[in-house]
Amino acid sequence: MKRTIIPFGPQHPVLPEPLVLDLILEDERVVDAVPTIGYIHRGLEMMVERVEYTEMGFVAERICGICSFMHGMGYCVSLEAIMNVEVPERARWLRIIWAEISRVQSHLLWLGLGADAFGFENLFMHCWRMREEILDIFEKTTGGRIIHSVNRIGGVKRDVSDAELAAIVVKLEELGKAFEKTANVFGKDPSIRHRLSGVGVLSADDARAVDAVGPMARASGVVMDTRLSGTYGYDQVDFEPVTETAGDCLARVVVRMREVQQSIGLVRQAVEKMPKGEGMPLENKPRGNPVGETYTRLEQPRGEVLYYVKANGTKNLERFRARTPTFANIPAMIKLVRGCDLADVPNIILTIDPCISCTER
Amino acid sequence: MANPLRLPMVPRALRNLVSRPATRRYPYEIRPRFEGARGTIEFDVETCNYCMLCMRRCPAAAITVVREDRIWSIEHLTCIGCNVCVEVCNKNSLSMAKESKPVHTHAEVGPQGQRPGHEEWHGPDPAIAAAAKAAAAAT
Amino acid sequence: MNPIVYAVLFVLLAPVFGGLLAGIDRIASARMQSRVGPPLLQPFYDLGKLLQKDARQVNPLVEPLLLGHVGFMAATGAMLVGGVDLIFVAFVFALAALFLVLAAGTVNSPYSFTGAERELVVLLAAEPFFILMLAAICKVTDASSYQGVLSSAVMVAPKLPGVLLAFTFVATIKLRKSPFDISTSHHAHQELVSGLTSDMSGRLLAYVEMAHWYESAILASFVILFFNWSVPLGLLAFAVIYAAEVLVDNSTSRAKWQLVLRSTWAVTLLLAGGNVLALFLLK
Repeated sequence: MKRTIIPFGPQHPVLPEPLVLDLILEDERVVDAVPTIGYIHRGLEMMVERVEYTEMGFVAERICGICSFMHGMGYCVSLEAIMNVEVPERARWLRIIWAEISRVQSHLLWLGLGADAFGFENLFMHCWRMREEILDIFEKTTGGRIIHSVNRIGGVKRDVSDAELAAIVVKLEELGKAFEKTANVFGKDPSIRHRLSGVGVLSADDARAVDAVGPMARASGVVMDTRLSGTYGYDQVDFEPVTETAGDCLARVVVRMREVQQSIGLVRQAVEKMPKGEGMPLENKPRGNPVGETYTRLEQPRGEVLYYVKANGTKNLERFRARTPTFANIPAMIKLVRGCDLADVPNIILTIDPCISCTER
Repeated sequence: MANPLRLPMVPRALRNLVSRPATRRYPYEIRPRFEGARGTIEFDVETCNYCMLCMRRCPAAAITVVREDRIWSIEHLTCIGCNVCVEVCNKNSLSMAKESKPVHTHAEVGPQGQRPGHEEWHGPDPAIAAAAKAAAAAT
Repeated sequence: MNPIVYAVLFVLLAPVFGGLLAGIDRIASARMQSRVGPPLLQPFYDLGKLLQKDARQVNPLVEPLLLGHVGFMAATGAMLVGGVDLIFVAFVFALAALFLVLAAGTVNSPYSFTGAERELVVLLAAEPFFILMLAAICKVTDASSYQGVLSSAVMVAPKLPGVLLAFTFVATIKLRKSPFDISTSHHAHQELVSGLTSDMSGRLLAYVEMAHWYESAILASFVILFFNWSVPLGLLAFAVIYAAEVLVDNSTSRAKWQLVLRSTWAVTLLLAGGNVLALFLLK
């Protein structure tokens, strides 16, 4: 049979970021897929040689626009571990709140992109409209919609008043209720089921074999959530990791929809449990230059992210490395794309929630 | 298999059709920034003591300070709006305005050679400064 | 009035009708997505802009083939209202659509080519219905031309309700609306980028757009055939059908080609075929 090669990317409307997938087609069936990455490599890790460690946090934030808060937090947490800085309690809670709100924001963005990939423009608009309101919360509390720049080594820079936090919880719960209706469309619409149900099935064994992380693994029934380790204050909130067992594209959508609700619940818990009051300490400034090395794991919206930092006592770090969740999920994506229909390719690529900027840094 | 004729989006689409759109007609209607949003760095030339701390701490190297000539300048296109210079300033000469600078579409060159709206330059006129320097050297 | 006059009027006015319809469609779609949407005349502005731009031709055959596409689309409409035999019109309609497939097929790009293959599938799904529909209309009215059907004393719609319903279904394909916009979509947001129009630009894309406007006008004329006792009622019915299409477009995702082919044939056979069969049996 005649084979067609479709160069899927680097510029392709369903891809938010440049990734190349050479799809080898027989008729409309994909027999093989060859991924190429490297189109958006900016050498951010190399920048530690030029940028001082106090300023590197702002570079880390710019690894990716969607997970920017978590990247900044991951960098600061690593440096705090090296320099033995205790983060004030209120700052730790604020970090959890912002991290969970950014998870909501990221999942809404992704749900919109996913809807767009299977040709549901209206649903895309609805998800992104809701995301705008989340970004408004960020603009009010951190000063930036995408790049928040509130994390500093040793704490956070801005406080959010208790009244404002209560208002945020009310606003988020309102959005959560409105989101129920959108979730209903994702779950019940027959045309969406036709496109997603039973497409790109990743079994639990395969998910472990290809080292899938985050919602990708959880949708296949693998309980894997870095927040379960209880670090950075997550031991003080109650939550159950969201898992589904089907392992298909629909399950991955459902996992993320349930995580939106879960994160809203976590923000409410955090606001209830955090110490109240004005003028509490938010930042313990570190002294001197860092010496030592450390690993940090965080649960980003896309899955587990890993930071390795090595410092040698100078102003510049010796090594800064981030292993991002999309990178870990690409083998799973390639596995799923083989043997599927051409029409399913965008859905499979998007359900891993690709963040190529993160992958290539 | 779900009922193929039950489309849950239909009632919402119809409701949207009769209600007000959620989007704004952007260039004509602009939502003001929220209080505390990070926009543009503002500089107060009266209070600055040219300590160069902002220049040293700026992650993007957008600020240039020359202590001898009492020059303070910022490249607004390079500035990443991280607020660090405002935090480190001892004299509170720097502040963060919530509005961003609008984008310029015409390439004009400012009176002191700066690019329009993007480079801000505080200090004596270069010609006057050079003349003063020459005069100081002569005496 | 001379049928030739009708034909000339159709060629001149159909683009205006199609363009305005596209403008209304874009505003309605935007409002359904709770956006403000473009001005009513935006499709005309777009067309003007496309005509001004350079056309990059990947293959010199593309332009003549697309001219054939828009020309035959206009000819279909002109022949339809000009009183040519309806069955003949159905075949010219299919031929016009085929020109677009050929134009996309000559381009050596995988997106365009796969889009052309899908458009063939879509033609395979839709064209049998149009032939069946026109044949059924000719049969019940005992007329063979547009004017003949309009002047016939037999009311078509009450006799062919199943065919009208099936028309509503199949028109989704011809109007390139979700869930059946598999070969090309208005949004260029699918696995095939913009399907078979991926490699057309400038005035070439303007031809495709013009042909689409003619196509909408032809579909409106088909609806008028069903309501042969009152033309305004026919136009109203078309408006209702079009509104339903826009609503469905904004409430569904894109289907896969297997489903398009199966469901269209099922609908053609069950609704339209069943309707025609019932007419024969009940006679």
